[in-house]
Parts: sequence; structure tokens; C-alpha cells
Amino acid sequence: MAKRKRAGDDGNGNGDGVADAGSSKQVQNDVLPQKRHYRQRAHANPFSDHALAYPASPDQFDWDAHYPAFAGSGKRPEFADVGCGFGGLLIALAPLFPDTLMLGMEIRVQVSQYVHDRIVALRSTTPADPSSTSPGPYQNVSIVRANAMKFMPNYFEKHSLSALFFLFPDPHFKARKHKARIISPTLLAEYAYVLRPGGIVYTITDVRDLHDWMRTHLEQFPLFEPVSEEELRKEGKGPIVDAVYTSTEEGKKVERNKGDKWLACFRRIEVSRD
Amino acid sequence: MPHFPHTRLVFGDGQVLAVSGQHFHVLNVHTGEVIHSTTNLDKDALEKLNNTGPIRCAAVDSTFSHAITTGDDKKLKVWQVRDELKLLSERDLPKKPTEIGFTRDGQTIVVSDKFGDVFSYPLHPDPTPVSSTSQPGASKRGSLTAHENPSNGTLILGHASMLTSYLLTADEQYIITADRDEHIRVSWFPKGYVIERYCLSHEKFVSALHIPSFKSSVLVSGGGDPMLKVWDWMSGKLVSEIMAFDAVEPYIKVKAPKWRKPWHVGDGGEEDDASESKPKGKGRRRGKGKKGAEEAREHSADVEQQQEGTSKPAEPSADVEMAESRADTPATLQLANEDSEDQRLVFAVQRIQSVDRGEHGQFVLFSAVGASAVFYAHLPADGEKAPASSVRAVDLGKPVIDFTVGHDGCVWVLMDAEWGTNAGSVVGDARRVQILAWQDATLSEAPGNESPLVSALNTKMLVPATPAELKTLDLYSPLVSLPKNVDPEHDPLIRDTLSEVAAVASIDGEGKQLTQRELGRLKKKKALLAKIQEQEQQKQRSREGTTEVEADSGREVKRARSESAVEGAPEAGGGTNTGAETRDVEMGAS
Repeated sequence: MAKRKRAGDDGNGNGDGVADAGSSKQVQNDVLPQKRHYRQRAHANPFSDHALAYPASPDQFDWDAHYPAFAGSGKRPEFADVGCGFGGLLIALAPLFPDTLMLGMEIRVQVSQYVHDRIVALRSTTPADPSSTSPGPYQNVSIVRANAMKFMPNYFEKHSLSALFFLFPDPHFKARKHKARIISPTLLAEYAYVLRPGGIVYTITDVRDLHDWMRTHLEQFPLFEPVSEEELRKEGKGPIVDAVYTSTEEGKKVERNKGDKWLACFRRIEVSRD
Repeated sequence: MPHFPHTRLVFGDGQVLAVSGQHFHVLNVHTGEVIHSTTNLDKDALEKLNNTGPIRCAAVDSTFSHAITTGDDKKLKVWQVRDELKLLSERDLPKKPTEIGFTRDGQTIVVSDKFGDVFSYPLHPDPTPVSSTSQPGASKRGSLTAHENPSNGTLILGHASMLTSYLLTADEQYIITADRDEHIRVSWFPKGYVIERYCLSHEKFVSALHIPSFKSSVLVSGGGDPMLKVWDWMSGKLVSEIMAFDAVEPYIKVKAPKWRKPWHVGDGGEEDDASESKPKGKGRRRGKGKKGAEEAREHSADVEQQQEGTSKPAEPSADVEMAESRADTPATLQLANEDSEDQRLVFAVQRIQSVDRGEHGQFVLFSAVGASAVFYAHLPADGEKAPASSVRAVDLGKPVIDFTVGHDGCVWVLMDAEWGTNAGSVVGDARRVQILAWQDATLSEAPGNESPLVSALNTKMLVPATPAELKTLDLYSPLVSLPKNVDPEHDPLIRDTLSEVAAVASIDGEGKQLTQRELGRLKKKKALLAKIQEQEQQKQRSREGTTEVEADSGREVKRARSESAVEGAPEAGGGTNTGAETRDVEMGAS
């Protein structure tokens, strides 16, 4: 996995979401950033002090700079993609929910820069859908370079998110590294804090051990209950589930290699004081 | 012969527990008479105690029946202090604790640790440990164990940052935790998985929390920020502030050593690339890390040698990795008496307390790590920003280690009497403990108030220490471990996509070689910029008379250029550049 995660060494340097984006691939390829120009080691220690810039609290963050087309609307992100990597999910979901703000969080400098450049390029070169009343294309997605394990509450208010994505997270195979996994009993409390009751946590991985880990910890956590894929599709969240399966670079890679993907989704529930 | 300073005083029920080095004593508050002391234990017990390193945390329950202590050996010890001094139990803790305490009924022990977790333990270890089901995932052994839990504690909550302090609210319905990454979290207790609120606005580490007994809706917090913050902790609202730093600064005696070199942390750099002109991140960082460790080893070598044979304090355990990644200090620091060029001023609030003086007002008292005074100010009214001039100091000459408010509102101050002297040259009358008393609204050294307890603590109850042991005590390590160790200049996230294009000229001018990769990125960006401009021109042509768009795009490019010029300059504010991200994403290019 560690090796596979290495960006752009597949020679297919172009953005994976471009095809999904649909329109005018050739034209866009001229201006879209290429992954091979943003290569980086796959790992960053989430416990160390990174030179990160982050707001002290969500209301001190300049959301308008990230979503200029929504400036003044008071809208805040509702979807968060934790460890968004090259941003495939964001790019896939953006046209599906044009009025929902989404934020990717990625700790690696080069990778977050790539997603940033990609969004800038997509925003300025994608022709607007004349039938849509929403702000221009990809105006609803953005990225921050952030350590989500530490600074989630700096970006999101209590109960402000309706969906939280953990797609193909770093498996941290060694037992002594398990504490660095993005799902842990203590971190789940923070995720439950930013998710509104009814909100969904999507997890997917191609590593069976990690799947068991994430599923078990989420099942045991009192503020989450499992929700099946069928149920989500019935609720109209099929397109999200599809994007979770296929839109990311990692998802595509697993498909090429004919590997398995394990999905596990959970709903945020409330508990009483006693 | 040098002696350990007293590092902690805990009052209750007419008695006081005083900590010195690896020992503690229990004395009568009024007569100063010694009730118990670990120095009087039998030989075997004494030998064992000498191996644990100094006591770092201590607490007593409300009835003064039991005391708990932890040293550097990550063992939680429960002592019986009523009637007879007896070690009742000893439990392994998963990580080094930062704060320990009892619930009010004295039946539960709550421990926060450096890994960021809070565990609770029953007063007496369960003789037949059954894996409890109440803790998600934590009790299971094997591949699903997220937390080491050697003594089967109950995991209450955890931060992904070092937990500096915790507090239980008066009704014990909530637990408030503070961490090194500026957070204050309010969670349910004991159901810590429900986070009620965060109190956010600190921009540096938070190291002290306090809820006044006379105003339980209010939380006072302090850390590396120049002010103390007063919160309505239930709503997370900041209600007032006390500007503290300017008042404290003149009294800060102990400074932190300059970072030897900021570690090239975390960002990982890029993979090997023949055309890469800078050294690759990984190698550089490793090199520095090793060097740092070696230097630390050299510093502590003498300590270790002297301790070998007699003791083995602080086994280097799994913590080390964590500590390193947190820039968590070389084990031994040479803090005092170094030439000032190698020092930097660090402000870290150590303890916050409060006193209600009735008609004279309500006061917040605080101390700072390495500062030689106790400070106090009126608890500000809601919405007030109390200026530093409202903060008053009682100077004690030597760095204040800790202070405790007695039942009568008197303030008991513990001082580092050996500080600034050559080890062992301290004269007999050096004050280690001093009482401050109130006169109306003024706190000052109580004249002629030689309470028997003070003289007992200053003379009788001294525990001899070797210079090496004093070094291990490392009283001022928070000055190093709390601030972040990042290079503020090293934030290579380029905030403005298009500025890179504009920046090329200047980079070329300095003769810096661009990598293949950088050139590739630039090419794409140039193409994008050209395309945007082309689109703008088209738009303009199609919409004759609307010049606004053109002007905008022109401004955009200009802005890009000016920002790129600033980019090389170090960003102010060190590790926590809050608000600096306002310019982060320049996406309004269409």
C-alpha cells in the first residue's frame, strides 16, 4: 500500500477525475496540473509539529476566500474528505451537489498543492452549465492543507457536517503504528462532534485488516450505528456511494489490480445523558 | 549538600502533603509536626523509591485518606495516608502522566497523559481484571487494540496532542481538557466520548485551567498566549481576558535554550530527483534528529553514569518515539546560567488559582514557568479586557515552582532555592516555602508570619539531592516541550496558484535552479493563466462596455505578483499563524 500510494508513478500523470468531469478533456489537459509534478512521500507523521496554518476556530476562517462564489451566503462545508489525496472524490461529487460546500483535508504539501491547483484550473476553464442556477462549476469544492487528527474542530463547528469521508486511509500496518490510524476510539469522539445527528461516515479500504479495524471501532462507538449500502442507496445516496467506490485514484488503482474494496458506513446517532 | 526543592503542596483536613524529589511528607498544617514521611519507610521501600525518579504528579482525596503519586517510572501509586503510611497498590500507566486526581468521592482516579488520553481507574485495583465492555475497543487485546492499557483503565477520552491539564467541573458532570495544540475541550464525564463544546481562540499551547469555586460557570485558561482567557465554558464563549505577559516578562528568570536547529519536520519533501537542487527532506531531517539525540545524550551522560548502579529512572520506552515526534525535549536541558545569546524567552502559565476576598473583590492568581513572582488580578467583568497594568506581582527573587491557596486565602509559594547558585552552596536560610497573605486587596509576604509549618518545610523536611538528581528534576522542561518546534519559514504550501508564474522571473534572477517538476508545474500554470486571460478578453469583446471583468483579472495578476514577492519573508507568529490562511486559496480567478 505504501508503495502503491506513491503519487504519479504509474505514468498516468493526468488528473483522475478529468474523465468524470465529463467535458472537453483535451482542452483541459493543457491547463490541468499533472500529478507527476507533485510527487511526494506517501506518509506524514500526524503527531509531529508541521508548519501548518490553521484558524483558531471555525469562525475565524476566511471561508469566502475558499468559496468566493458563495461569499456572503454564510454557507459552511457540509462534506469533509479527510485525507483527500489527489481530490478525486471532491471533483466527482462537486457537480452532483453544486450547492453543497465540500472541503478536502490533506496533510502532504505537494499533494494538497496539486488539488488546489487542480481546483483553480477546473473553476476557470470548465464551461458553466447554462441550465444550472448554482454558482459556477467546482465553486463548491476546496482544499486545506491540514492535520485532521489534530485540527478538525478548528475548521468545523459542532454538528455542521452531513458527510465525512475516509477513503483508502493510510493502513499503518505495524501494530505499533496503529495509534496513528485515522480511526481510533478517541478520534471518533471528534468526528461525532463535527457530524450532525443523522450524518454519515463513509469508510472504504482495500486492506482487510484496516477494514476490520475501522468497522469494529465504529460499531463499538456509542455515537455511531452501522448503515448498509442498500439503505444508503434507498435514501438517494447512491451517487455518493458510487463515488466513494470509484472516484479516487486509490479506488481506480485497486480496480485495475482487481483487488477487493471494503465499504463500511455509519450514521451519527444521539445518546442520552444517563 | 544540595536539597530537593518542594515541588507540590496539597492541603486538606488540617494536613498538608509536601513533595520533595521522590519523597513526600504529610505534616500538620498548624503545628508543622510531621505525621508521615516516605523518608521514614523501611530500607527496602526506600531503595525502591530511589529508583522511581522524582514525583511528577501527586494528589490527595478530599478526606485525606489516600494519596496518589506518579514518578518518571509511569507507575501510579496509591498510598494510605490516614493512621499509617502504607503503599497500597502500584499500577502501570500506558504513558507518562501529566495530571492526576481523585473524583470527589475518592473512589476513582483520573489520569491524563502525554499521549493525549485520559483514563480512569478505580481506587483499588480490581484483583480479577475482567475486560470491561464500556470502553470502545480499548479493552480488547490483539490487532484491534488502539490504546495500550496495562492496568485495565477506562478510556475516557483522548486528544491527538499532548494533554497538558484536565479539570472536573464542580458537579463532576463534565471534564475539561487542554492540549498543546491550543484546544480546550469540554466533554461529558464519565461518558467522555460525547464532546459538548470546544473553547477555541488560544493561539498557543494551553497549560493551565482553573474553575473558581465561587463562580463555577467560568473557566480561566492560560498557556503560551500573552493573556489569560476567561470563558463561559458551557457555551464555549470567551467572556473576558487578562493581559498577563507584559506584567510577567520582567520576572521571567529562566529562559529556554534556542532551538539548535528547527527540525525539518513532517513535510517530507519530494522523492529522489537528480535535478533536485535542495537536499532531500528525509535525509536532512534524519540527520538532524540524530544529531539532536546525540547532543542530548552527551548532556545527560554524566547524569546517567552517576545513576547507574543505584537507579534506573525513566526507562526509555515507547514514549520516546512520541516524544521525538513532538519535539518533546532532549531529556536533560541546560537551562539556567547559559549565556543569553542562546536563550529565548518563553511564556508558559504554570498554575491558575482564584480567591474570593469578599468586599475586596475576586482575584485570579497565576504563576509562570521560570518566573520569580506570583501574579494576581481582579477577575475581569464580562466583556472586559483587563490590561497588563492591572496585574500585580509579588516578587520572591527565585523562580516559583508552584503555589497553593490555603483555606484562609493565604498563598503558599514554593521556590527553587537552589536556582542560580552553584549546587550545594545554598545557605541554610534559603527560603523554599513562603506564605503570602492578603491585606484588603493586596497580597504580600506575610511579615513575621513564621508559621511552624513554613519553618518545618524550610528547615526540617529537606531531602538531600545529588546535583545529578537535581538535573533530572528538570523543573523548567515545559519551556522546551510546550512551544512548537517548527521552522516558521518552512511552510511551502504555495497559497496562490498563479503567483508562481509571476515569481519565475525573480527566482531566475537569483540564479536558483528550477527542478524539472517545478518547470512542469509552471508550464501548466502559464497555460492556465494564458487561457484565463484569453477567456477574459473574449468575454470583454462579447460584452462591449463592461470593462469591470478585465480590470478584475488585471488586478488578480498584480496581486499574485505582489504576494509572491512577500512569500520569501518569514511569516510572523511562529508555529501558529492563525488567520494567515486568509489568503490561502486564490480561486476567484474567473
